[in-house]
Amino acid sequence: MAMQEIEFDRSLLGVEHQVETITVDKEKILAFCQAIGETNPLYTDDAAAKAAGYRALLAPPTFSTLLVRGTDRPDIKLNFGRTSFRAGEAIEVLGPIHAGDVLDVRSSLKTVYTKTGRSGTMCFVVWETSFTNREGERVIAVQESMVRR
Amino acid sequence: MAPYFDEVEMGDDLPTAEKTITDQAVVDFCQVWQGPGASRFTDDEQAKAEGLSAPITPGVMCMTLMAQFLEEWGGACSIKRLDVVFRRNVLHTSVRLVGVVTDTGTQSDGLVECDVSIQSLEGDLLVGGGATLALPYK
Repeated sequence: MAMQEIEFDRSLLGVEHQVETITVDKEKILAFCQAIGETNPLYTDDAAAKAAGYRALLAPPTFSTLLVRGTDRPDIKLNFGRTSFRAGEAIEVLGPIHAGDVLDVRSSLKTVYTKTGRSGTMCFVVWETSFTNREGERVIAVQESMVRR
Repeated sequence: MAPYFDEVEMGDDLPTAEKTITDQAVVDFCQVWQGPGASRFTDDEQAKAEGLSAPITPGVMCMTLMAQFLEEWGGACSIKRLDVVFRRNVLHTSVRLVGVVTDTGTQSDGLVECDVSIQSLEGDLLVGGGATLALPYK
């Protein structure tokens, strides 16, 4: 299958950007849990989380998708298609994320490629984002694959 | 109660679950995830303008349903990895969550590999993926 040449800012490929530092907001965790119907006390009750040995309320694993969405990544100036959809997502949980944690967020553009199928050519853009806490522990890594067509 | 690692074997099915994704559930999710405002997830016109037959469920909401399904079996904080591929659009509808144990690690790590998917009630694959869970052992 022939790869279609695509226009984007290739200087961003593989370059790690420290996009920002964020504080994990307890109210945001609680709002996320309420929206998804999450009732596990480790994610919804500060006292229960502390009783279980954690220093504060924990964020559910996919809360990281919310953190990723809030990050300000560089524009890759992709000149392809009009509509963007999520093709895939992978999270690797390396440690707990607590309410109040301060996390350094680093992102890099992993790859950009095209695929052609029955519905035409699609362009896939894959970003990797990792979150590191103040103790220097990488707590979560997220890989997002978006498709444009 | 999460199963013990020692009790789990390759080929074990996770208890299948059915979930109805309502319009309101998607609106609530989007409110937190992307803020207020119409989108292809919540608005019929917007969805049709983007070539969709009806509003769809955000991919990350589907992934969240899968994570909850896995943690209902393995317990809170059991997920170490979750990797999903969005095969088809998921409308606001009833879906089935299915999982199976595909491998088990060693007693020392307590890790279990699973395939996990969201299927239509007719059995069509909508979202597929794999996960690694850490289970307690006796």
